Amino acid sequence: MAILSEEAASGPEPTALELGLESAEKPRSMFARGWEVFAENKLALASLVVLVLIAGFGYLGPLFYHGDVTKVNLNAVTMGPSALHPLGTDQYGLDFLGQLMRGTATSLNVGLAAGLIAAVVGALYGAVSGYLGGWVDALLMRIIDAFLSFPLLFLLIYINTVFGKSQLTMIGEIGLISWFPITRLVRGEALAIKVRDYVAAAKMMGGKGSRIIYRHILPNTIGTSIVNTTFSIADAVFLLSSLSFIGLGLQAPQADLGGLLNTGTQYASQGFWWLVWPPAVVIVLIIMSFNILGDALRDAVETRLQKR
Amino acid sequence: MALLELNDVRTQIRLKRSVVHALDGVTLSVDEGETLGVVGESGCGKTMTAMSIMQLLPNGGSVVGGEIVLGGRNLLSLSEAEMAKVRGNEIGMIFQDPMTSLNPTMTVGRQISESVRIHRGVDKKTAHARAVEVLSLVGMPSPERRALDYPHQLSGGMRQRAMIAMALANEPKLLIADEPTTALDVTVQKQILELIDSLKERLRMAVILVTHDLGVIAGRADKIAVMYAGRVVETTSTEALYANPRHPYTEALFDSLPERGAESGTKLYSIPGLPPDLSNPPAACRFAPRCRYAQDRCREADPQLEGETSQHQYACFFPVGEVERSARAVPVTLTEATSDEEIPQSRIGQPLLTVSNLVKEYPITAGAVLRRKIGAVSAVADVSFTIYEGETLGLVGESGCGKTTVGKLLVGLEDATSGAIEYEGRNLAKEKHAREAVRKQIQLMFQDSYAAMNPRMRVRTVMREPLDIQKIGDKAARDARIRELFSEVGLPQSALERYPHEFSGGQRQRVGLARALTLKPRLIVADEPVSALDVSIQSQVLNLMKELQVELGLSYLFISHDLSVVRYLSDRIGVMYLGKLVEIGPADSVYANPVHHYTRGLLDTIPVADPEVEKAKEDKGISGELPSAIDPPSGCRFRTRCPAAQSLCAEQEPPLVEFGTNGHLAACHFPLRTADGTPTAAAELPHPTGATAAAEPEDAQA
Repeated sequence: MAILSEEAASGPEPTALELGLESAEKPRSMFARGWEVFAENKLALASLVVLVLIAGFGYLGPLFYHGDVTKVNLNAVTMGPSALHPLGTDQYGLDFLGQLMRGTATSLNVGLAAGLIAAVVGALYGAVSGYLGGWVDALLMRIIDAFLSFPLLFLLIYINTVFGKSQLTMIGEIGLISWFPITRLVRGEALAIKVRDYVAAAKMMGGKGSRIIYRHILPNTIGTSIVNTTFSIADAVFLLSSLSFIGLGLQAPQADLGGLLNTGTQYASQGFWWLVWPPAVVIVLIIMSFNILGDALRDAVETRLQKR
Repeated sequence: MALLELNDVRTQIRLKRSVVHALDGVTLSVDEGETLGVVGESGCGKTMTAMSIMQLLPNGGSVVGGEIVLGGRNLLSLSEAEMAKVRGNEIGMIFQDPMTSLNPTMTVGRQISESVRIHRGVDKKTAHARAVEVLSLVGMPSPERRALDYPHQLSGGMRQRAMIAMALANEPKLLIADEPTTALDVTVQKQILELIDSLKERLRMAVILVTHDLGVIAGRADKIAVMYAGRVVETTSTEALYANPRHPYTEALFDSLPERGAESGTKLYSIPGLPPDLSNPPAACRFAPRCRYAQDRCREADPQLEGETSQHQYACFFPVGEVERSARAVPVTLTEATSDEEIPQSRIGQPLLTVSNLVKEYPITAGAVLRRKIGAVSAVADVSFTIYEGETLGLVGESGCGKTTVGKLLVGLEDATSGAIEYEGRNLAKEKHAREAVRKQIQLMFQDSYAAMNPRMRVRTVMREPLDIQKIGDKAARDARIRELFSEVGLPQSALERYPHEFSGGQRQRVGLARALTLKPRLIVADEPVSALDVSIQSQVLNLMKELQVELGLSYLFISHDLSVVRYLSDRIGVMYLGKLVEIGPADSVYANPVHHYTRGLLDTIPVADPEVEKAKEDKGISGELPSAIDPPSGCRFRTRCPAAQSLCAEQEPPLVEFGTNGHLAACHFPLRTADGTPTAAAELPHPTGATAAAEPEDAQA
């Protein structure tokens, strides 16, 4: 049935110009176009630089700076900054700059992994729940309600007791309790998107549910998802810090920024500022930068804001 | 001296990277008791003119030059506080969508009295009394009660009446109506326009009526300003403009009207290209790139607004009618109106799809868990018709009459409550199996093709999706098919890499059509495919649809509220009212010899771009508003608005019977004519006027 093979009867093909389309040069990649929008946001660029510096500090720093962070030296406890120890030492005489590097790396590890887990699980769960609707949606949402009605602290203590206080456990438990907000937001968007005409169009072509979720619903919730992924990374860093601060976090000698801060505040009254300010500042910088980054990324993935 | 004068007004909107010259030297004037119509394509500065007068410009916008003089005062020299006193007091404004312009959390009465209290400084009680008074002035039924209603409790027409009441509460000298009826049904549109007209007479106001619809202003405006690219290109009295347009742009707008093509059977003229980018407007005549008469001089110099008299001015070096057309430059358009040979009757073949006794009801449920059924919305009630191969069946009616639902049932987006849709010997309404199998062959063309395309997909992906889903061909074959379709609908290949938002409305509708064609369907259900488009662009899409039909042997079910568009494209027309098919027959027959009172009412209501016709049909058309489909009237559903209704109409539902031999059917107890065409007594019945009708409209739908 080659009904379309004949020449179009509408005369010569109108050129792009006559139709008012600027001539499009070679299409640029999604990334290049997104970067352009992103780069317009100077604050976001600054945040990105800050995050890169912090990541470099945490992951690459130990390769260049060999402060002793394992051997207790009781002759050099709580010493102020000096040439030997740029950020002084803690109550065991361990080099604090080196500890800060390790702590930063740990915080970033847990934050990134837990945040991403929360985002992926949350977005999928929310999209499926919203798209299917009806009793499936009701059931899936009640499961979340059940989770939320659980005393989380109790749950965390239980998990810590059973699985130990390793980085992996932390990633798992923080991921487990932080996917609910994304789920709810994505579900809300899925409810709105599934009645759009383009979903109707896909159904009319014979598109199945999985395709519609994967090709139409998830891509259109990307703005929400991305912003909230960065938020949940920031939240995970914050949560880990909080847990460590109240002693539910990582077990020594492992420490994250929150653990370091916890130690530092115990000596705050004695004026050991170098044990308090550095971890606090790094925590704040990480959380703020991720939040700013989230806003800029939402704009960057918005095709309507991109130029050719 | 004129009440309002705009002298060389220049408005700019500062964007991140550029400055848009939204108005570039607009000169207008309106006298007391006069209606000025402002027309043009979208993006030509019509709304910007209104907003500049009100000084309610969007962020970054400001009037940078010229003067706006209202009653001897230059509004541009007023401070914001002084301007606030002018707005709503000396100038009233009505917006397009009354739902979004009314505050949903305040009663209508309070919203009106608010403006009275601000401007007159009276107490609450007096202000409320004034609110009730203006509500009755605008023909709101039982104004005391309605004043206590919230906006959502009113129907669209009543909301617009409330908006008008609010605009008039302080008896402004000038009323600006920005597309006041675009969001309303034709039958309501007529009532609102008549209301504005009569209020103008009574209050001696000046009215600025901004619209894209040449039919709307034909009967309403005393003089007209045609705008193009931020400028007035032609201005004169309404009669002179319609009889003797001088600017090629005005002429082209008229030539694009589908009723012109329907009458002569010719292809519609369409204006090629798009209006210029106003952030960097050309120094020459702005219309030259799209003008069929443009010559070298037009591309070099900028014509000024002038004319032999001050009454008729235009900005063109080579005005229409001055030089013989043959002596003019060769037309540069692709789609010059050429006479299309009569479509041979043989094009229409065997029945393709037969709908019989189709019913669709949406249940109304109560309770979150058990969802008891407490009622049903009767969207489609016992509708039967046949679509033949290669024909276009037009479906018209007010919104809420079930046209779109019929379309959705045909393409399988909704399940029928009962009835049959027979296609190739199988009942699509019953067999889900059959529906999957023929899915490809019946496709839908959406009203808003932008909403129908995933904004995150490039158009190439959008176009390929049907092929991907149906697993047709390999990647290369799919790509080839897409390119073929794109040239078919007249879009360049380079456009495939774009995103949907990068297209203009007309181009997007082409993409929509191309996508609907991807799976080689035999029937395309087109749901209001051109209602969102400018008339100049609309004709491009209509022409394209007509061409492709002949070429590919397609059948269309063309759904629209716009009778002139339907008539241009359709071989047969079906008229729906509140879920019922009340009349169906050959397009010309339905047009020239309607049988049903509703059909005649619709025909009388549609604004025609001809001042004489428009002014002659005062007091015609349909009154009232569509009753609720939850509890439709017994017997004939149209009886509540029908001038010929008698007790029989309430007792018995009229069957669809034949009138004449050409397949013209209608369902009416007291038809307008007999089968052989002689008018009956019912045809002589007077039409109720808009004023009496407004006194008893049905309550707004839930």
